[in-house]
Amino acid sequence: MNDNKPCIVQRDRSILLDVHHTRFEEARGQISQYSELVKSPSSFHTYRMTPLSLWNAASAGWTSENISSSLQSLSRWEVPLSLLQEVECLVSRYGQLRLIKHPQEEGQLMLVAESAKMMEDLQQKISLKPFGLHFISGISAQLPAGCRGMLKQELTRLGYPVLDQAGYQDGQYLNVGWAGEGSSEGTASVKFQLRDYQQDAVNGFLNHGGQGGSGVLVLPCGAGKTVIGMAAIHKLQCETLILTSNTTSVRQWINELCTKTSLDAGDVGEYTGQCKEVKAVTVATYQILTHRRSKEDGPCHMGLFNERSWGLIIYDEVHLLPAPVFRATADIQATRRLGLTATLVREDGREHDVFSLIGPKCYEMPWKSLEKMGWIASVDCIEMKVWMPDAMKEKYRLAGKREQYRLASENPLKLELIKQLMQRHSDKQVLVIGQYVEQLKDISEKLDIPLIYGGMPQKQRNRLYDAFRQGEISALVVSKVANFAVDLPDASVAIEVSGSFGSRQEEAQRLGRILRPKTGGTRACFYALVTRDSREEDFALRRRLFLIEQGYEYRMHADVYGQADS
Amino acid sequence: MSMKKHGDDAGMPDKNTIHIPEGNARAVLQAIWKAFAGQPFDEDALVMLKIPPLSGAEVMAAFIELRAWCMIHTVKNNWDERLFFISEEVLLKLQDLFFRLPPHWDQIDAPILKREAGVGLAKDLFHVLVYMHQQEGLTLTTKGTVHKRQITKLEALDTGLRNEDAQGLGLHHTHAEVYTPAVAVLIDLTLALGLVIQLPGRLVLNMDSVLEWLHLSEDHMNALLFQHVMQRYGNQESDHQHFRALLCRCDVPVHSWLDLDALLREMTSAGMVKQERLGMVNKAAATWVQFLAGAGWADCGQSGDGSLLVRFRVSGCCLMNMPFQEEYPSSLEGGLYVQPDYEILVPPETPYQVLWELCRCADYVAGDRMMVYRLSKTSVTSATYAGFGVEKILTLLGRHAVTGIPEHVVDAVMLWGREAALSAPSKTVVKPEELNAPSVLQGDLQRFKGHQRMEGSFLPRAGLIGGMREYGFLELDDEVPDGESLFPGIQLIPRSWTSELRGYHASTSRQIVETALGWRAALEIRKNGQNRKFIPLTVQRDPWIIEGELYELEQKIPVRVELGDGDWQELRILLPAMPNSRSL
Repeated sequence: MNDNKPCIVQRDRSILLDVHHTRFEEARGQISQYSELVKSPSSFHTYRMTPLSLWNAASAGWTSENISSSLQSLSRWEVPLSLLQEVECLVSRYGQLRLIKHPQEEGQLMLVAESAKMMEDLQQKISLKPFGLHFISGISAQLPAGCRGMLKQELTRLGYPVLDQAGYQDGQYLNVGWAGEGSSEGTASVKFQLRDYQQDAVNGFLNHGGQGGSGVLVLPCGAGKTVIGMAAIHKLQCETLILTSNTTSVRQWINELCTKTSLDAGDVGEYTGQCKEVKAVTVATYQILTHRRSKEDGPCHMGLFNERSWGLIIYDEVHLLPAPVFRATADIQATRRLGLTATLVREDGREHDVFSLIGPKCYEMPWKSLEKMGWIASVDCIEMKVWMPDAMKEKYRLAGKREQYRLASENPLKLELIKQLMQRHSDKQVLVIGQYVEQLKDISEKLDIPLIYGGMPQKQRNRLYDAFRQGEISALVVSKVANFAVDLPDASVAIEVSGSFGSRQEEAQRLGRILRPKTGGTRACFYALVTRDSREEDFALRRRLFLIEQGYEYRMHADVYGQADS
Repeated sequence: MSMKKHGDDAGMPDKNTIHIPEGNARAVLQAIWKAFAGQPFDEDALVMLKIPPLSGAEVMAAFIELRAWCMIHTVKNNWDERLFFISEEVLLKLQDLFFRLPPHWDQIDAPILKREAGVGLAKDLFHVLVYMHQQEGLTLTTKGTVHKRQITKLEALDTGLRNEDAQGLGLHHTHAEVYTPAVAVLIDLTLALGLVIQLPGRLVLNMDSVLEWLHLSEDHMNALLFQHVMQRYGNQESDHQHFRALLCRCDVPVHSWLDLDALLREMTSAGMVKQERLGMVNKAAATWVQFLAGAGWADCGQSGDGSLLVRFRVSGCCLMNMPFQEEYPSSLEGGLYVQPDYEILVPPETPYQVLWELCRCADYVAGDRMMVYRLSKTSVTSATYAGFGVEKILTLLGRHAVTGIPEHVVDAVMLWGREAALSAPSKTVVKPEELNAPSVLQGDLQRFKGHQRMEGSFLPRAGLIGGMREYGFLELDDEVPDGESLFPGIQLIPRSWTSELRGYHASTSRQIVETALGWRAALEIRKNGQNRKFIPLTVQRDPWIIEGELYELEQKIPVRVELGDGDWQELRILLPAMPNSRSL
């Protein structure tokens, strides 16, 4: 054993990196080149070498010898031999398979191998049979273009990377520049510039392991995913369809496009329940795409995918992608697809469906890394427990499980605690976030704070958001409509009074509402109010997991609020 | 290894040293070693050995000497039938004496790894013990086999040893169709080590033994396991035994690839493997080496030209000769990392006792260099029900957590503990061992010496898997016969028959020859001034002809001849010198 080394390399391709080791940064710099960060809790970060991460490294010029040498130089114990062999085998496959357009036949592609041996291996794979591969020669096969995405995914799963050189449908050309680009005025508002990591993310999307053109970028809330999406449009210079989670977010996108790029209102359309504009860049909600006039009808707006010659489709908050949109996406493999999210985690475990149909993860920026760089705020996460009032206990005891959770979440003793916290942070902009509208209405009324919830018209919501942004109001009570994509830069305190059971993604997204960097470098605060000895407390443990894996730690407040048990 | 010479005290062989004989005894020892390795043999088998130029009497005399020097041990069964064998300890030392490892067998170009060493049998066994502890033992069916459901669970444990590693060992046990090979080996070892005992309808942990076992270092566990494995598994035929024993030589390199095909060829040249059996032994060698890999002691591979390769992670010699751990550590070192996501990372140097305690309250996630466990509501609830409550859990973690326990993990454990306390069954099950758990364990390590080669009765080994146990109850037989017993009636013959080379009347000569034949002794004959050694084998009468092997003096290759009265002028019976016997 060599204590001087910071990594433990395991047979399952995982790498544990000792955070407290003096060579931590050096090691991280190296292993992040050929492995993915899985989680980054406080003592050891976990990375994992995957075929994709290895091929990505290969596309950046790493050889298997380099990777082996790096592992051996960093590993506390002998690197498993079988792992080194696997690395060599996987890396050696990079560049051996290419997907190109069929030179003669429209709608057909060619899969070309560097060696007959490789093509022979593929012929033996039963799982490739459904893709209609027709083996033409010892080193080439023909397939329908419609099978492109699924074939690539299956080859990846089998351990065979394929360089996708078949090209994408470029879509209708659209001239998109950055605001102030080429301006001769020399004003301060000139030329928008990407941050380094944003540029890396775009590059990752465009050239990931040779499969560039489709994929998912994972960056924390507040990292500027919208900007990255715009950078992709700028790079590709094409008409684009953007899908996002709610109308507020649609309008934010439109605002950003019109302020940060050369596009104007005539170029950008809103496609939502309120408005049906299809323009060169169109921003729509998932909801409108899945809308049906009646139960018997199919989704009536799915045709938006074919409405124009899109060169790029952006899926904002891609973790929310509904199943019907998944299916429609499968048919448009020739169009570039970009998924954006901060929380690629789903309680139904279907994250991999996203990879299958959008593309692989091309880039990930850990939350804490961005915090360290100063691009997002540092946050104190504090859980505060509240006693269950005696008057509620009997009702709780007799209730079913779902009802118990609700009762605990709506614990009236939380109100007093919210009041105290708001007094403590009276100079800050505060969001009170919850799940249950009745509870939120009660808080709003008793504390005289404006409320935003789903039943409120969009215009009214936007007015309140704007007032909050302008500083005219310092606090808002919000329901889950504010979970995603609502940009409230100066919010620095979030008080979560209730949530959607154990949703890790919701917790992370809510934290995301206060992640914009604060003036003077002050820390943001995220409070989670939980009723002690209740089902809510159980679910709270799960909710935190994603953020804990990102390196956040929850401090447990020593006191329990309210009256103790008699 | 240095070998102690026997002292000058010829009357009392020193059992603590190994005497390496010279002369006939050495030749006989080598022949026995080659033919039988560690296998028991009887007198008939010994007689069948041809050890030119020695006569049967010389062989037997040398054999008595070897027994006197404890190079050969004797046991007898209920019918007073005797079996002889070279003890394992001596066997290993004879490897060095009688065999030279092939030169350049460690110079391998481009080895290909076929099977990397597993995480180690010590860890595998630990998983089995933990499972049995959680299940309060294994249920036996009316046939006496472990219940299928539990076998399935044992198969699903994350062990390094796989079925294909143990498949080719040719394990013999009554219910081979019930137990998969890896499970059979693991249960067998728990029984053999006394960690598990059989009660009516159940196999249960012998907690005293288990707790002592857990106090051993992993090195010592591996040593005991290896010694048991060497005793219990593998084809018992001598050539297979030789192969396995050779790999335990102290001059076998560690961490270098070794060409086993070259070793087997050398063994064939040395007569340890018959040419016609080489293919079979080669196949068994591959199986054995794969087992060693599955057990975590070696990697196995193949050279570019298809030769079988092995690379030891640990020396077989060290494993066979490790002194027993006499003392337990006075304090438990070893740090865990309690991660905020409820995972607990366990470095390899963590003592097994700490790991055992951890298993009481955390679920196993993955195992390799760093083992990973996780605290969960289920694990804390189960621990609480079993009497290992929150306070004990937090004390354990607090004592060993290198970077402390994150606040919210403490909070979560306390929450789960509170909930478990509310929902606990009316009687919390307290396992019996809880009542007897000592804080510092002083075990009787003799228990682990139960496989010791020669002490006391040679009892059948506990365990699933048979082997030498088929020989039945065997008792040590220390009594070494007097040399005179080889030559019945020696007191009645003229002394000159054995001491003087002289001529006799034909009838007397025939008597002398037939006496030698009866004793299986050799004769020295002289004709025309030329002395030769003659070993009579059969006699015919009418005419009287003696058939046997004729050696020129100092030669080892005989000529088969038939001799009559006129074929010698002088003769005498050649009697071997016998230690502890009066001069013959």
